[in-house]
Amino acid sequence: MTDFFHKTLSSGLQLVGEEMPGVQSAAFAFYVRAGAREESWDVAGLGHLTEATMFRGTESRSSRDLTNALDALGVGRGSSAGIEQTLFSGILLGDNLLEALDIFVDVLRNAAFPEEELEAVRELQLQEIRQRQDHPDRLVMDRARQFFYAGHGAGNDILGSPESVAGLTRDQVRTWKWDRYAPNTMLFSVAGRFQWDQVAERLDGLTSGWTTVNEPLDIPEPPINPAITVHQTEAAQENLCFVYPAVPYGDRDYYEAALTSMVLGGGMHSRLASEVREKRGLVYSVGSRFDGMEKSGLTRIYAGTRPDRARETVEVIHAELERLQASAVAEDELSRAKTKLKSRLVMSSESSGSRAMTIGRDWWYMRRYRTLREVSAAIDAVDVSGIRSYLDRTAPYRNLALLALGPLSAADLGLPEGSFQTSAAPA
Amino acid sequence: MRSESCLFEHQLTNGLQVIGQQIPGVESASAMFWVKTGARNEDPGLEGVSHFLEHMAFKRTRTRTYEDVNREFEEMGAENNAFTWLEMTAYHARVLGDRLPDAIELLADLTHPVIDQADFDQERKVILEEIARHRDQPYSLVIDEFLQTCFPGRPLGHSTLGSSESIGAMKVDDMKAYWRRRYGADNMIFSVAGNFDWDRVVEQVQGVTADWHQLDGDGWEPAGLPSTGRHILAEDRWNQEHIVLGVPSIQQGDRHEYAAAILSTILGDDTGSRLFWSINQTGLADQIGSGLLSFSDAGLLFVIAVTTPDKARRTLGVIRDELRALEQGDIASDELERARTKLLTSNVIEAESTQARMMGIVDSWLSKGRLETLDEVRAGLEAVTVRDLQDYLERFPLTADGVLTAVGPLDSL
Repeated sequence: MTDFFHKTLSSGLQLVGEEMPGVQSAAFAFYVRAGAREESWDVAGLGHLTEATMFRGTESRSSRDLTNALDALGVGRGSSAGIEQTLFSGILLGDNLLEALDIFVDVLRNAAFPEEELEAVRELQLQEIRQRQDHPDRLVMDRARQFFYAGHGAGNDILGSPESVAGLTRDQVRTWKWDRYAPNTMLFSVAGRFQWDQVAERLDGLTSGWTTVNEPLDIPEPPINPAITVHQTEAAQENLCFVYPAVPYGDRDYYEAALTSMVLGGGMHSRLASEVREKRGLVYSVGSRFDGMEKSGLTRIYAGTRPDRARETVEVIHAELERLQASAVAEDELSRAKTKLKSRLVMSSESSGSRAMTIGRDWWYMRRYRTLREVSAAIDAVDVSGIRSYLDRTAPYRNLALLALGPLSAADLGLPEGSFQTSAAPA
Repeated sequence: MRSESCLFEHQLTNGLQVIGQQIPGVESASAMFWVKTGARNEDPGLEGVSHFLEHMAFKRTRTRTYEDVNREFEEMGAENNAFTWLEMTAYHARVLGDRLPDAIELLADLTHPVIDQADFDQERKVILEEIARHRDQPYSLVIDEFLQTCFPGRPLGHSTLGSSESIGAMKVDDMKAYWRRRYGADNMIFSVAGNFDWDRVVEQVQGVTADWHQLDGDGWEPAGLPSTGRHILAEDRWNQEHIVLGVPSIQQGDRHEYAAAILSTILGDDTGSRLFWSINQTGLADQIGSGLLSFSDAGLLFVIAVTTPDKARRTLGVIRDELRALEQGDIASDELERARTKLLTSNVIEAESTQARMMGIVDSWLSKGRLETLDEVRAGLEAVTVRDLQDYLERFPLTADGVLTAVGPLDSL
């Protein structure tokens, strides 16, 4: 039996926590409402540069002070700048949690961005951009999202471009942080072993007097670009990423979307694994991934195949999507997908790190706490007709995008000009 | 407390070693059949057979087709996978405790595949795709190149995936013979961690392995000492230079196991280490770290860096400086304490994970022939002194002539 707590401090910081008996670890995360979708093109990468420089010194602690202090507490930690929010997380023995929070809040509140540190981080970000080029399977997934939402912040490149990153200034970083990192734009989540009253009291003290910022503007739902894009580049495989629209986190059809993705491409018994890999040996790696965010969601299908098999791979996946749109899913497929998803949820809930993220996300997007039982029930409630309605509502096959990254041209791949939709018969 | 776990071990009459770690308070269980065979066992011409065989296990068994296998894993809500490397082929699954018997039965079945010619020809294509994919992953490529340069033409230098030539030429009969020789019950370990009843597990494993055959053959040829040398793989298309520099280190079960782990943390952990400060924090390389590769009879300590071509030489120079400084200079006690704290903390956090413990107890068994308790591991880490680190360094100098490999646009470093 786990205990859930939530509180909003007088500073505005929201807290959620779930106690897990029997563990010694405590995992936590600070969510900040700062994301790449807010960046104009000339400052692309600013959110990431800011996030990556946060731990390089505060007003009272140098980079070395911070690193040594956190290492002495045994905090495994990370941070990541996303499209909609920025995350700072840690995991450690629960006994050390309060001291770790002292340091994390100092960083979030008083990060100083020393000039030479900023320059070093800029170098690393430029390297990260180059590195991504060297991993076409990751690059294709990222770029596919960018093309799908091109023209809207949801399609921004988190890393930015070499040009935009080279031009970012310390003032821009400080302003970005000043405008966005404040208790009223942040959420703290914790799971594992902790004393709630002590945590709340500590964070209350640490965030007291921290100036709030204006409520961020509401960002509208992004329109989509269901286009076909082909980038030719030297690679041993042709990397394919199909994209279709889904639904936001917490949407009424969220589990319909998740289960559809699972039936389609969520494991070795999925449709894509069966048709593309098992039966035809076209790929090693093929799968589908659903992401639900604040205002939108998308499903991306990845396949990596040798150039001489790429055309067939495209055809087979495209045919599977047509079949999905036409006939939805079968009872037995859906039943197995539910078993799998529920099992995954229960198993991942054994990890304090995973639990801290899950309750954090639920609160961030939905302002709700859901027990495992509640989520299981929501999954169980999905039926074949619900998936049919979901597919009618979102029409994946009629809003399909594709990005191909590899040695082949559109003609080599047998792709129509522009998009699948312009060449398809009316629905 | 999850850390107050019980350890179990039992050897079946057929030689299969069964080990387990119960973790109180969790619902799931992770189970694995670990076969002590891998790329290092492969004769010339059979490069990649262990890994290809692992794939074949999922295509057809004595009682199941691939559809049955995949469907059943799904029906039991399993998260499952398999992997092959130099010294092992392993098949594992994690399920909620009530489905453990199903998982055990299915995993056992996988280790006895039926190698059908049509399936073989079909799966060959998938292996060839995997080989092509590997060529697009410079980070994995440079580690492979590193091992091949450390053990050129020798068992530990074998390529796990094989080559398109060796896979193209492979025959069903050769794979069957390999399987028959190597997949003996007495050459395997069954490992389980999490929520299970030990007596029931042993009884079931005994039952499902009753008709298993024995290993036919010897253990492996000695690995020999790592060679020295360098190997640069240059290709214009890469944007970054990927560098690995390594020297000999401990094999599994060595008395300096904990000292080596702490030393590697001091050298190249992703926060607060020597390499972190001089290479990551200065903006020289976005990816930098160190690691230990401990095989049954050989070992390596390596540093891996990914940087721009124009900074590659300087990065390499700084790495060498840091290796020299660590070997010849002082190690401050607070530095040692921070490294120790990190490892102690990971030890506790891993104890909360069924997957981590399923793997951890196999490691303990292979290196020590018994299961170490968490308290023993803690004691081992706590006992390490600066003197121990220095003793390790005398046996395994960081400035030894080692191996340098690189994958990137540069022709030379």
